[in-house]
Amino acid sequence: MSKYAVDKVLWQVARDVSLEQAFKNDRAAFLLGRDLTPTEHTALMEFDIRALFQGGAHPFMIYMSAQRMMGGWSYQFMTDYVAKIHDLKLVDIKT
Amino acid sequence: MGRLVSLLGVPHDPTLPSAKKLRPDGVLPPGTQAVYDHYAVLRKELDDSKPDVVVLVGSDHLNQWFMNNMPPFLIGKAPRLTGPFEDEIRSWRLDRYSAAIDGVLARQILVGGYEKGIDFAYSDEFIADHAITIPMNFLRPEGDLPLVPIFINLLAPPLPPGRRYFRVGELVREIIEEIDDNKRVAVVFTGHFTNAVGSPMMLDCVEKPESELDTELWGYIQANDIESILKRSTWDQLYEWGNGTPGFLGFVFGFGVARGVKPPYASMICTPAQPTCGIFFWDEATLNGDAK
Repeated sequence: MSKYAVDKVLWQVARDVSLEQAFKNDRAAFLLGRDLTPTEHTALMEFDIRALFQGGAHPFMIYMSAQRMMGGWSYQFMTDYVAKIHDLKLVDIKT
Repeated sequence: MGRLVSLLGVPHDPTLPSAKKLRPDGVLPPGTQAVYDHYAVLRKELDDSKPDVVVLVGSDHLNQWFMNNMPPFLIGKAPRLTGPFEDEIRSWRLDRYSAAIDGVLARQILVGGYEKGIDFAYSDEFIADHAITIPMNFLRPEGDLPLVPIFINLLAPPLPPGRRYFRVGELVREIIEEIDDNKRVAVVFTGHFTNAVGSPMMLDCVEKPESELDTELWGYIQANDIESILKRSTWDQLYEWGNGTPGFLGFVFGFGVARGVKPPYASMICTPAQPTCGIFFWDEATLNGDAK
């Protein structure tokens, strides 16, 4: 189970400006040594919110970290975010 | 003996305070104005109840407590409450809030909980996020009333069942009523109906403001059918409607504080403006059995 490891990356990006910057500067280095499956690693490298969602990352953390990755919250951000995942079903997010 | 003098249930959607500024059209939607109107009523009711202290029950949104160490129920007993987080201020143009914490009552609730079977976590250093600061900025912007924050996990599963939130609410009230001074205590709790922030159905409320779940839960509340509310109040059943919907457990906590007495003032606001909001208020007479 490595959902926790994915959530932790998203949490760090969302909640710590220095870690957000580190992730943006060098994603591969940021993810080095973390307990991630290849699928999860790719999802984070590409910051693919569909893949993150389908993999069971916490939706609230995806949403909050996506704000950091895309320059902050706005109505446009919110509608763009939902457009990317609107056809997906909720999955189990328990870590 | 302590006395519960008012009990208020409120929403905390982060877009509420600055809705007009945040919206692309710069127009305050009627659905948000309705929330403002209810908040104005509750602000006066809180003031009229003349509390010495406010116990505030809300969640942290994975801001500081995370799955590395997640407390289901936590008492904040730092000298002072401040918040929200800087990125919340930036994103949603939120006002700051700062107020003293009543450390005596905080410790009485903490220790009283141990004696009654609730193993509260506690923290002497924390920041209150928007779930705490938004209600207090609406209800008591002066920041002149001491607070006791109780943080409850509404976001990170597994969560206790709804019956536990209800029971902890009941026990917190017991503790308040057993303290050996004459404090007048208000309790403010906050939560959600259908809420899917971060989920695919996040904007469904724009097309269909009232979900089937909202209709069902509101029916139970109007009928004061606590047993049906509790049966419905589990992570798995609420999560189906969006990852924020287990926030309903925040309301369940408040219903426990009320000991299942029906709120004389209650409203569910379903609007395209924001996710469904719940407003609840119990006055001193209703809470203490001397209502006419």
